[in-house]
Amino acid sequence: MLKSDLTLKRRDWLRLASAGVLSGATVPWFESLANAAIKRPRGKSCILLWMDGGPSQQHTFDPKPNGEFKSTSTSVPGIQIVEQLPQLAQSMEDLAIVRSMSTEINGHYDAKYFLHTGYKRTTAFEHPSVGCIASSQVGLPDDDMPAFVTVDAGFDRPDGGRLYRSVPAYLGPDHAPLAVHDPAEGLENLTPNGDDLDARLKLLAASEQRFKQQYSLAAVGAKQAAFNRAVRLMRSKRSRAFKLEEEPDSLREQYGYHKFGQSCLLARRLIESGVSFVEVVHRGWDDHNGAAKPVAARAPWMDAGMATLIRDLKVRGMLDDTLVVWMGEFGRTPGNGNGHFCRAWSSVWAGGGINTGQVVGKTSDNGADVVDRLVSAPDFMATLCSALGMDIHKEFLAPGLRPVPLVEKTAKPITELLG
Amino acid sequence: MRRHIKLPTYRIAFPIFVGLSLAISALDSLAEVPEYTPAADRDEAVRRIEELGGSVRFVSSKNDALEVDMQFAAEGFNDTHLQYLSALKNIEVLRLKRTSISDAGLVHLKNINTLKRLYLEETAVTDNGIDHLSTLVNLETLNLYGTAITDAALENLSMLTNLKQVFVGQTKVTEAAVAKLKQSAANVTVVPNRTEDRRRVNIVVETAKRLLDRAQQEFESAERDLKDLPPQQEMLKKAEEETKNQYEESRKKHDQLKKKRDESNRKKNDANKTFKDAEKRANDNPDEDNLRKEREQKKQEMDVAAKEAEIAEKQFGESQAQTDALKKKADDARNLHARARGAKGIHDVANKVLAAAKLRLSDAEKRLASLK
Repeated sequence: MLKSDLTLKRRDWLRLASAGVLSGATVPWFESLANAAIKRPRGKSCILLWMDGGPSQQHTFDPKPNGEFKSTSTSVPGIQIVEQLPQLAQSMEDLAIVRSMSTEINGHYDAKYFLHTGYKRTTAFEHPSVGCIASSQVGLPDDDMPAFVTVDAGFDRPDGGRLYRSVPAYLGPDHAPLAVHDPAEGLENLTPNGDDLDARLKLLAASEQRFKQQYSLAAVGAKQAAFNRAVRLMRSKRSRAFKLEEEPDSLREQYGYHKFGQSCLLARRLIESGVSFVEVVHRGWDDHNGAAKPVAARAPWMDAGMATLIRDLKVRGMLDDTLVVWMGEFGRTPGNGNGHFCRAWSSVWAGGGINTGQVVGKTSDNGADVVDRLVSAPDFMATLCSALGMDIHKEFLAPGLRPVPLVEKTAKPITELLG
Repeated sequence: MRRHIKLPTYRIAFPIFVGLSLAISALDSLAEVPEYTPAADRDEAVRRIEELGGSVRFVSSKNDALEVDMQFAAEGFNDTHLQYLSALKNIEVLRLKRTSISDAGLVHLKNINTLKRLYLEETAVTDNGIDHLSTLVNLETLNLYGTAITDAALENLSMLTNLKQVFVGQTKVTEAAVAKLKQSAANVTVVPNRTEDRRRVNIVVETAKRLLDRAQQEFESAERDLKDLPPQQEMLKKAEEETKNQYEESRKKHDQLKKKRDESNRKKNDANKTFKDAEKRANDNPDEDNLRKEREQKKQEMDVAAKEAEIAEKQFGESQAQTDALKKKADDARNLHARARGAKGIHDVANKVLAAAKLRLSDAEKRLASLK
């Protein structure tokens, strides 16, 4: 008896949480507003460039004196990165490199989970990923465009562990990501077939309504939330953002006719159309047979895609409002980069109003340890969420009525970046 | 779905162009259109802005400064609607990107001197509109990307003493005008700065050339290997085994010589010690002949041991050099064999790196050309 009562209660809480009732009510200053018509502060948008598999820090942004790659000076005196990334080197004043990431987990999937959620994986319940958190906290509420979109930028090699998929968990199905599988194709089936769409949708809505009345389950709500969003997107002019062919050829070429470059371009168009968080996932950085050669082959298009993205955002005056973060789930072992290495690796930040043109943290000469300003996974998450304008002390209710803070309580944002 | 406000001027724009008779009736209805009524208070202004597809938000949770964002209302927002803004206090950020506003509408911004960031990109704004902004003394950021402005607009900006950045991409603004503005207002960053961009792309081109040279060399060496080595694989395998055996043998001998050297060193040390003892005894008892004789004998023995040790050391040294040389030979043979076996894979990777390096250079050169 007692057990079934509890289950019911949990379900009710879930339903309330997914309806957004709980998440909105816990912002303390929001309640104290004299004028409820004005919504919460405008958050910033974010493009997360996720190099799945773990990119080598010493072959990218933390070169070593006797390393396999030579280093080059950048547009900021005193900062050096590898010479394989000349375009990014010339954008250094718009970048901040965090060289002291130290994140405990050396296994692909658990590390991906840790760096996407700020929490270690547990069997008790699932944590929402950072894109879903951004959707719930800084996304434009009740908007034509989805707040969170993931873009598959293809792969170089098939390994690198199980792919992490962002889930909204207890934030509710409204904050699930919209997945784009090929940037050049955009969204499949975005344009409806036939001209009787309205009639057909009406029919469907009526039968769904009946079904919902009979079977009031969370899954029905989730399905309907996804469906309603899709229809809304279909009807919105802003869905043009998915059509890369609207961009001039010269710009598409600068981004690079590679899936990664085109994904970066799509990310800019999506942010421009009101999406708050875009995660571009490029798989294949798990270079177990030495990182030098594969990274040398990958560097030109990564350099072109990322540097053009930052320049494009800057020229359009969007960079101050758009945070760009480049990272993987960990780095690679010092030297040739054969193995996974979570003890001392790099993430790269740009835009979003953060203090750029600097390096935060330092690794030892052999690259084996962080010798200055260690940044943990929760610290990283606290910095990212703060930079996007979120209240990192806010608490959510996870299943079982557990209060879970937005980031772990021990987390300290990197103040050097946030200013 | 969002409700769009039924705005008379906007709604009837279409029938006017449909046909003459229709146009007349439309004009009739135009006469009935009520004049614009200002929003009564903040709430009403916010409500109207939201109905148009815009939003009003706080800039941060720390103060009451506002951001009015009309960029997603797009063409549904026009000059008339700008009047709603007068009902809002302390607007710091105003986003009008891609809306239907024009020069005439910017008159309504005249009194919003709290404005710090103004976004007019991809609108119909021209040089004439910029004149209306001269009272916005707190303006720090002005976005004119993709507008019809020219160099004349930049000349008017010098009145805005707090201005920090201006965006003039995709306009007719020239490099000369940007340079001139930089002279009169050193604190203003103009984006893009083509002169600086060109300087930087030149550096990228130089780096790309250097990397391409290196990739080319590595590819050529890989290609030579692929041509020469695989046919000799059998021979190379034999050579690897042979040199390995030679090295192993030499190492065994070397180990023996090492033992011999250590042994004779030990003997030498012992003899040294025995002589020192004998010498001490002889010195302590200068009158005893036996002891003196013994000392002489021990000295001879010591000298012999020293000579033997020296010979052993020399032999060991020679063997060391020989073993090292054989080791190097064996290593070389092994590496060469490995290169022969892996020639195909190495060639493929070098080819990929080369293609990537070519792409990097052509990207940089194209960009340089586009900046000229």
